[in-house]
Amino acid sequence: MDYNKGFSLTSVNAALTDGKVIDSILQCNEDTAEYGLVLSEQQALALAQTRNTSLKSNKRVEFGKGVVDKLIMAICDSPYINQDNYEETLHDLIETFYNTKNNTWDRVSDDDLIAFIKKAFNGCCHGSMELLMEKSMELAGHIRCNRRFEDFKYEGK
Amino acid sequence: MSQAIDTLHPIDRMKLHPVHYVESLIDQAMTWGLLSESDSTIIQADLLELLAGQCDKWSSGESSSLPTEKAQDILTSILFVVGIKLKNCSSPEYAVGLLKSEKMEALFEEGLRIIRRKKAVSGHIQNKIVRKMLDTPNEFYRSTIADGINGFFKLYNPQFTAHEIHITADYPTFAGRPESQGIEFIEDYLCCIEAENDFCTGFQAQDIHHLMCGLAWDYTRIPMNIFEYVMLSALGLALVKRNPAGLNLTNENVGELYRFFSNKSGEEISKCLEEGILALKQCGLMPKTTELYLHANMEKLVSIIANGAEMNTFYKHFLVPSYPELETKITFDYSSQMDNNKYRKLVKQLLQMERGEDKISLILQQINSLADLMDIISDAELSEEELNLLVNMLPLSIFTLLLSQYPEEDLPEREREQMLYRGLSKRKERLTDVEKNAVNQAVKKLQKSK
Repeated sequence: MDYNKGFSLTSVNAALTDGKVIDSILQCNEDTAEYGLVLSEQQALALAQTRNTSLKSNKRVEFGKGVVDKLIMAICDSPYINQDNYEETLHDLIETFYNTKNNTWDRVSDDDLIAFIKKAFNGCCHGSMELLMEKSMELAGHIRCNRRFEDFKYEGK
Repeated sequence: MSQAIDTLHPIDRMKLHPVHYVESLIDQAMTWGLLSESDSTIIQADLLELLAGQCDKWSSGESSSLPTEKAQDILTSILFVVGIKLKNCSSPEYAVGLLKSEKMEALFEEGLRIIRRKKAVSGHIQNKIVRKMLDTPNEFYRSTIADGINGFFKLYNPQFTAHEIHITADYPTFAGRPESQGIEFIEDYLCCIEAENDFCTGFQAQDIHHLMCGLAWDYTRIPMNIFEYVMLSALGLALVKRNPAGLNLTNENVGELYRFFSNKSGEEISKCLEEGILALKQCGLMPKTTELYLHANMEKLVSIIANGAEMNTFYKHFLVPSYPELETKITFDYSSQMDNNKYRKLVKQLLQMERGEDKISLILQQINSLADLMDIISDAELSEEELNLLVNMLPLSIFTLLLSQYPEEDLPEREREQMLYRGLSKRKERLTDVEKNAVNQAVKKLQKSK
């Protein structure tokens, strides 16, 4: 008998946390409205789904409300974001976040990784997702060489 | 006759999985209606809440997500810890009651407490064993029981990896590898070792060494159970009415035992073994722990005897001791090689010769040391036919010496050496039985002397 079947982790991401994630995303609207950024319920649901797919493709599980609201609050004041590209950027950032979490072998905390994304996206990457992904790979290489997160150089290689 | 169902205790303990205890308990409880679907859902939700808390602790609160593999590992650990608590209950039905009434976190904490106690008890058993270790040169015995188990105690972390043992536990026990996990594995393993040790330390270390040499002179480097052979030897001696303390069965005794056990049923073998155990007890050679251990493993013991009788392999189980220190040692050295100039001249001459017979006759005339012979075989570019000729013309002593360079299980890699090995094997095939026997014994001794 497969005893692990009843205690599988595959349903953890979707079943228990979707509601909490959507609520936390919508709650951000109160603060982001001052930057002219607001997400509809449908957009919040789509972001929660991206979170699920991203966790699954990166073979990760998350408990609680996760990090999507923290990502929103970190980049809502970015000069490179407006209402038109807001949702799309968030989808990409969620994917980049979990991907980098894996590539850095879980050695970088959520808060540090979000701080990195904010600094790189607004600074050296000039709001480009392609450049941010490249920078994330650089950070991963830096961490995997047993170097400190604080010593990572954002400008140039 | 069908067995009546105990309505107060409907869960069959035999159906509870020793490793997946919680899962199998829930499964059985649902089968017997002791848990409903909604109870099971509540338990699972509670479990996930505990898992979330443990994962948070694992990342020191710095990460809200973690690799699925790690989370699965932490979940397995939680279920193991909770299982330890539930196994400790007076009945499975009482354990189901706890699952319904208690928070998973409380059961987990209680499980951790029991694990800490088990760890302390295991440490105490290990100390007791280490204080009275068997004096054996077997490398795996000490490296597992002392060093390996110490490693377990250092690395064991019941908070997140309660189900792991972190060590390989290479030294095998007679009862086989315990199927349990984590601290339960170590507990089971040490109990087996304690029972085995209590018995083996009743004999002289030298006698055990000689007994094991009767099986394999290099037993010191093999992860094999020592107790099995000591116990069978003592039992065998008791059954042929000799003093078991010496562990010195003879070939005649082994034959006697073979005749004694042949054509006996499992039940009859078991009865005879019981008599042997009783005889050992009367000689003061059967501690209580070992007696219980043997009774628990009687089925295995009977099957060893029954198979040995059927396959006529008693000599592999009832060992006749061997005394390597009394055996003649053959030593040889690689010195007295010819000087380099003379050797180079010889190689040149051999390369210029055409007839194989001439080459071989020159080699036999000029070469006086094994080292030169080995060198010339590779330098003179002899054909397979010429090598065969050389091998056939070598005195039997040199032939034996060459043969000892190539243990059967270790075939040479280089082509020329393979050719030589084939030539040696062919000549060996042609020897008479008496010669073969003498050569085999000499080869064994030469290999031991290396």
